[in-house]
Amino acid sequence: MPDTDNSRGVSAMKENVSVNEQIEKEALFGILPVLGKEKLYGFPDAVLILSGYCIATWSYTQGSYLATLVGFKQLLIGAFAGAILMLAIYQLPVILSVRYGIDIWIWLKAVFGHKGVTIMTVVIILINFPWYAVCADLFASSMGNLAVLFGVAVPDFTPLVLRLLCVAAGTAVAYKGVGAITHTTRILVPLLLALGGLVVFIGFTKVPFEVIWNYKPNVSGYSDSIIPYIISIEANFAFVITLVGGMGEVPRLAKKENAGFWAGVIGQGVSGSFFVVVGAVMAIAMQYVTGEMIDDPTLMLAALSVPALALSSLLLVAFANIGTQAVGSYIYGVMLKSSFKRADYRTLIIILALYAGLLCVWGKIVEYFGSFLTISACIYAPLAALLFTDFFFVRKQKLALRSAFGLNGYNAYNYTRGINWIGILCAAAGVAMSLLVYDPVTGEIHNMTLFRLTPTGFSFLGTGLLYLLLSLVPPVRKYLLADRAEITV
Amino acid sequence: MPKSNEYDKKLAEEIEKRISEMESGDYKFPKRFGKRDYIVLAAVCAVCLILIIAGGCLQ
Repeated sequence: MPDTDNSRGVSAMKENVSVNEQIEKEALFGILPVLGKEKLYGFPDAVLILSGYCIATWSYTQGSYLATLVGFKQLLIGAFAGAILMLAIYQLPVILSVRYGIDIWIWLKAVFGHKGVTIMTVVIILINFPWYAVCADLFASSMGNLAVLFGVAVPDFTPLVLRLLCVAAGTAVAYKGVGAITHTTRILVPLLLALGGLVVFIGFTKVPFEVIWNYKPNVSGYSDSIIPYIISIEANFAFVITLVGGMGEVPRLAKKENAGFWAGVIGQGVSGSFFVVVGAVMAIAMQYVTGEMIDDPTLMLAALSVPALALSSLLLVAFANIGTQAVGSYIYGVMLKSSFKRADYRTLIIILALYAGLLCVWGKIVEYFGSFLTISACIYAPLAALLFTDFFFVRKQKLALRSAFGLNGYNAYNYTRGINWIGILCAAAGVAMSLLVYDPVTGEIHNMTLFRLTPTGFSFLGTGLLYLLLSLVPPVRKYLLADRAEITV
Repeated sequence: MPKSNEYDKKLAEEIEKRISEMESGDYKFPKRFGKRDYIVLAAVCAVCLILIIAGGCLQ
């Protein structure tokens, strides 16, 4: 039966090719360590991609929120210095992603254990991905406003369709892969930065310069005038630390450690913060012109500029949301691969799109967003602190790679049935520390001295210190550092 | 052999191959975050911290 044998042989060969193709994809879309020869990004591309990730209409929302707390000069300091300080400290461990070509979640297997990382990954995705539904919502509302400004009547279901379109378009770019993301951001980010410059120019020319420069909000409701300033710094810390879960994916493809690190700090701390300030300028200018503090760029550009400029600018902002969705899908798809090795990257980003799509259909994400943000801000700081302390002080930049990847016969990170209870305990303590200082729901300050460090700052410092001190206790040290005999690189 | 098992086996082999390559003496790791980078980082953090503290005085 030569034909049957031949077809079996062809079929087996096809299957083998398919498996090999899948394995090859693992370097860019999965968990394989990316080797030096496979690295894609120098500093310029990495900074453009990470800028594209951070420039979204939620930056305008953050800017207008800060303008309700502090004057323009304090806002500038907080948006840039606050964001850059937090990023420069907590993102320093991304150098591990560049060095070993791995995601931070591979390293975090040493901190939480294999099963612990799976739990943490899912928790982070659940609390972080609503950002993308908000992004889609902002996209839809801006486009809807634009249609109204141009006198176009839209049916009731249009916002939902636009929200889903934003998610679908971003996922489609991510589906095509890293090349599509790189090309999109190379064109989009410089245009968006130019747009931001234009918005600032319009804001400062349509409204007297002094109005914005000397702007001060009414904060008479606070018992101490320093409180709104500290809350604004906390808002900047919390805003940038939400990026911790996905901070390693782009740097793992960077060619130099300093390029991967500074691309994150500048892309997020300078480009991202610039758009936060743009949002604040818009909000202050709108308050001066209309009496209302509005953060929708459509309305601002339509009120302060000509409709044609509003249209072209808004189309760019719309693409920014799609770009954010694309980079976010890639980053979180790769992050999930760290825990779900067998799942296909494209299947994972479709699952993420379905989750964001369901939140879009639900339609109340903006209404409940405060709750999402509150929960997430409490978890990110301990996570970032544990990674920082583990990388620099506990494991001293050395990881047992085979155990981290769970290869047969290497069990250093199995801990207690797959969970490192010391890491989990410290993460829980970090959440408690944050809530101990400040209740973000009621706005009640429990301890003014510690509040000066900000809840995120205190939680970061406290968690890191607790983990470090525990690691010095001999039995705990033995439990944590069972990997030392396996260290090779 | 089921496809998933084959995939896991090949993936493990590829990971092992890559780790071995990193362990080989001639593997060139990306250029390290050096002393100069740490100095720049410390300076950036110090300037940011001073600005944040000074910002608190701008009431």
